[in-house]
Amino acid sequence: MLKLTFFKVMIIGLGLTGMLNATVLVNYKDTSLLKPVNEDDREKSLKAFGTVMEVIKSPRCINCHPTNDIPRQGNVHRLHPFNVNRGEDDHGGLVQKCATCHHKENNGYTNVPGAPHWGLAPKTMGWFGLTDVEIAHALLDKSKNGGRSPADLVKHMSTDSLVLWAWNPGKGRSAPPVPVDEFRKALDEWLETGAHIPDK
Amino acid sequence: MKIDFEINGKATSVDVDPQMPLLWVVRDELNLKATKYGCGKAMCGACTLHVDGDIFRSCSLAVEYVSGKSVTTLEGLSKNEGHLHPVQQAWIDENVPQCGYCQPGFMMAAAKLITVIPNPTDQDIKANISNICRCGTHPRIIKAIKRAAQIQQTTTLISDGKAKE
Amino acid sequence: MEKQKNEGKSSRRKFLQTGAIILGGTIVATYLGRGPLRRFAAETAESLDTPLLVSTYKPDFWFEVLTDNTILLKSPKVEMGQGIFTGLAMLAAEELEVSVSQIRVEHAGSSNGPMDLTLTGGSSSTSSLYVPIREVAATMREMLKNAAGKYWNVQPGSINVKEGILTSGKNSMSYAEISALTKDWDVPDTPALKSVSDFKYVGTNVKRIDLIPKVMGKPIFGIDYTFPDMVYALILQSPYINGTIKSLDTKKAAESAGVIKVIEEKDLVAVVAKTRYAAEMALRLIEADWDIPRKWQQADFEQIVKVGNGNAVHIQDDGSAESLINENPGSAFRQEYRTPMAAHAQMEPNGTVAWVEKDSAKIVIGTQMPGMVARAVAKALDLDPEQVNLQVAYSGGGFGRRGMVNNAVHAAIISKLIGKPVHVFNTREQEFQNAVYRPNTHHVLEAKIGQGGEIEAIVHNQATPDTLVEAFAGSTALSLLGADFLSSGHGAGLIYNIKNRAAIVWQNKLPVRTGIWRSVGMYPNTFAVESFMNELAVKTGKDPFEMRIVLLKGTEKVNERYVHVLETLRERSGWDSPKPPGKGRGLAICNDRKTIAAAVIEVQVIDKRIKIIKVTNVIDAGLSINPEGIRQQVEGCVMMGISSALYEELTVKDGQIAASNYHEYPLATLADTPQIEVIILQGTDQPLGVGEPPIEPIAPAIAAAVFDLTGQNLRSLPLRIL
Repeated sequence: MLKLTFFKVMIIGLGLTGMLNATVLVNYKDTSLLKPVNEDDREKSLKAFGTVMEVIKSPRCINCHPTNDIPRQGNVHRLHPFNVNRGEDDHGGLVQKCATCHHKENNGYTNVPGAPHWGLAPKTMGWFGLTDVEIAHALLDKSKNGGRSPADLVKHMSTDSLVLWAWNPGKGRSAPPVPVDEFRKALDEWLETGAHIPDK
Repeated sequence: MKIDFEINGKATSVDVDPQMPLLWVVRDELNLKATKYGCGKAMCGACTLHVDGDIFRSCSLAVEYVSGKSVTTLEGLSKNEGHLHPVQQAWIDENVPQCGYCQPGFMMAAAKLITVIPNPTDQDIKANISNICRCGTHPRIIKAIKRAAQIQQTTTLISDGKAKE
Repeated sequence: MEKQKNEGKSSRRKFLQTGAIILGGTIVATYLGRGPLRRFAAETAESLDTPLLVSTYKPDFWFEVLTDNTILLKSPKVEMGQGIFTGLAMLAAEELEVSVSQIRVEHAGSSNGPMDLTLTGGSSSTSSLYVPIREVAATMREMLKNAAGKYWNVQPGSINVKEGILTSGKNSMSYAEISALTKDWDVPDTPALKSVSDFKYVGTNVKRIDLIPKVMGKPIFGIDYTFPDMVYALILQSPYINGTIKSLDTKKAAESAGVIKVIEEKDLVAVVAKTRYAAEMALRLIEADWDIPRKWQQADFEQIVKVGNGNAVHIQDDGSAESLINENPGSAFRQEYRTPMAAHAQMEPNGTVAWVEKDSAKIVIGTQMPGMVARAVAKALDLDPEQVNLQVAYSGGGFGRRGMVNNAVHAAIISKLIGKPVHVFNTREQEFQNAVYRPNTHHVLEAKIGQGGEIEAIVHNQATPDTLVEAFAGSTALSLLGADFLSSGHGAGLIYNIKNRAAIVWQNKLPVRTGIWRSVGMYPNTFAVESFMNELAVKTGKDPFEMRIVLLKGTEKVNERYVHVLETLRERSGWDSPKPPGKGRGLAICNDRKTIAAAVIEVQVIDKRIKIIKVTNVIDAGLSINPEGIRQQVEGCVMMGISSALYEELTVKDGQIAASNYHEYPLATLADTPQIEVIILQGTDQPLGVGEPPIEPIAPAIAAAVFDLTGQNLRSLPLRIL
């Protein structure tokens, strides 16, 4: 299968890169090592990227990827009230943690959202307020994506329970505009087609 | 569903909807009224209590999550009026409450705060407790938490001393 | 504990030389039909002491001697955080000759104590009870002395009393002992009261007497109350302004777990369930279509409450202010101010525990108006007033929100229908969306400034809906008065000695219920008038302290008090010391029914957000009963004032109140706490109000400080940096 081949090649490629230069952070250009950018794929890739961005920029995702320390809420992205802060481990302060209010599932009584390991994406993975191009670069940059290879990225974005919460956000909250399967497909496709990034 | 847990040091068992918020379980099933309903949205902090030593907003905590765990409410913070918890003592020393309705939640948050930040500054307190008080007891709460931390240190020293003897 | 009750004979009371303005009824109709008389009424209302009106003055209804020789005081005023129980205990202890710790205080119930027939509010509890409670206590002490005298066969005058122990020669006995031995009590004429200089406790710092229950989490609030076999109910309330039920499907709710019954009466749809949780979950399952008379928008509310719209009443008209300004309107200095609609947002939602049986009703409620609630329940259930046993619970905050019947009648009806005791407390969403609100206001201020910068005339037009008169005395009373200058227009008039001054209250009606909110009209009016005064000071190049001192000087006692407050504040706030860089300072002052409160506030602006650094308050509330209690109230007012000035605003959108919970109506938190200093002056030997006046200068002083720092004049609340 195409997908399997892609992953295998990628893993070997990453291994090689690691051996070649262990001290240099692998960045998004690694993808090009594995699959040379094919200008014929550009259109396809950018289209897939557009779909990915629709999800990433949906309030359910971007609200917890702030570039500062405060989560946002709602489709209007208002700052989380009550002095809520990422704290040192992105899961709240020393006293009040995210888990003080947010548990492993949405609460049926209060409608407070919940999912396993509820918390903020690390500050390095902040997207709020960035342009599509900046987010694309961040996604592919290990220093800004949680040290993830493209394979890890796909895995994180398609299996992590907190990410998947976006499609089960609870009453009164809109899910991302793209179904989760289509999102996964688009992400694969974007990476496979060489992860083209729009000019602006 | 039957759910077993510990409340203020005693084993208890309730037979309720597992989704029932712990707030209503402690208030209406266990008849412990210190934990208050304020907003029903985990925003105001009036329902704050401890589960296994961490603070939770109990209106938004389904009772099934505390199965097998240890829950402490304000009623369980101290043995009785003669043996007050440092937070309760400090609350009296600083004459904190006005209407008093939000105070149990603040006190439970404060009791946690002084265990993780034993010598808190104003800024530590302001950054780590976001409960709501409408009467405006905020300045006294800040003073009382600092005093509670001092009382805690003194009592720790005394009990350490006793342990050595 | 077993209580021993004194058998009281009828007493010859001299209490109550009231100066009550009785609303509704013939007095109003006779005197207030015409404009000048309305103004007279408004001016009189500003200067009158609020009277105490209670159901009984019999000492044994106020006090009970308990077997442990403590004395139970049954307070007609309700404890909602303001500390009234402590103040009353201190006053009673003075005349009873006991220590404050020997007094316990509970709320008077309708069947066992002096029931308040008016309202706990208006910062009037201490001042209205200052004399009566001491008279009742002194009478009680004399009764105990007389009884002991009879028992020992000595002259009562020979008996000394200390800490509740009576002694005469070698005889000694406690209040509890003589109470147990006495059947017939001799009620004397009201004895002479101690003079201020003889007070033992008044003026000392006493901690709240309700600290222990409040730090131990005792079940003292209405929401905590239970009766055996009690059930829980929630009432369906329209999420739309004045929405009425078009159609209803309660099938799912009725089938929901734990539901006992869904009540569908004419004006009452309610879910009754075994637990509060079950009731709340079922309420959400009721499918209701609402008839919405109109999709009200924010712009509608601002149009209704606008100077020029509605009925106008002159409440102040000295000299010829309006004609001086109208002569040459273009040259007048004119500014407009607005305050938003606001919620009380008290922490305990409103509710009632009711148990109605065949010929009786037990009602437990946190309320500011116990007498009114008891009457309303009796009327609704067709019971005699004495068949209603009303117990007042501690209120989890009041601020005016409990100055009405709320859901007591509905709770009683539900209990009657279901045949069980019932607990009916609002959800927070209902508290926000189906409440009584502080109305939005609009103010136009105009001044004529003379050649030398002197202020020749000021006219203040305030537009505000009613907050008291219609709610309490009906629409007839409101139409006779013309406008609610007693409450929502309170403070529209100027305190400054300007020869030509006028204040006009424009009254119009909003489609929501509007009511009293801590400090009533003083809140918007002090914001508008003091902001304008601060702008006038800038305009005429004067120091805001200097300008005010000049305009408040005079020959009366109050003028001396104003000057003392201002001079003290100037010194204690460090007004004349160099301002720290990056900070602004502002001043405001007010007189709220004789209490003078003023504040200097220091602010910073960080990322366009106003941060309050320091608040220096000076308050002259006359004789201080408990300075510690006054400090608590001032601090509370500072924090509520900051919250309201910086964050709070209720708006209307598509026929609904836009905010549904605290995330859409944020309040100040610990992070907003500034350094607060409170200086208490005693400009008279009468105790005056404390619970409201200190909130009044906060918003205008912040606005002035922001101007001082940024040059921006913010004329609408909440204050937002442009």
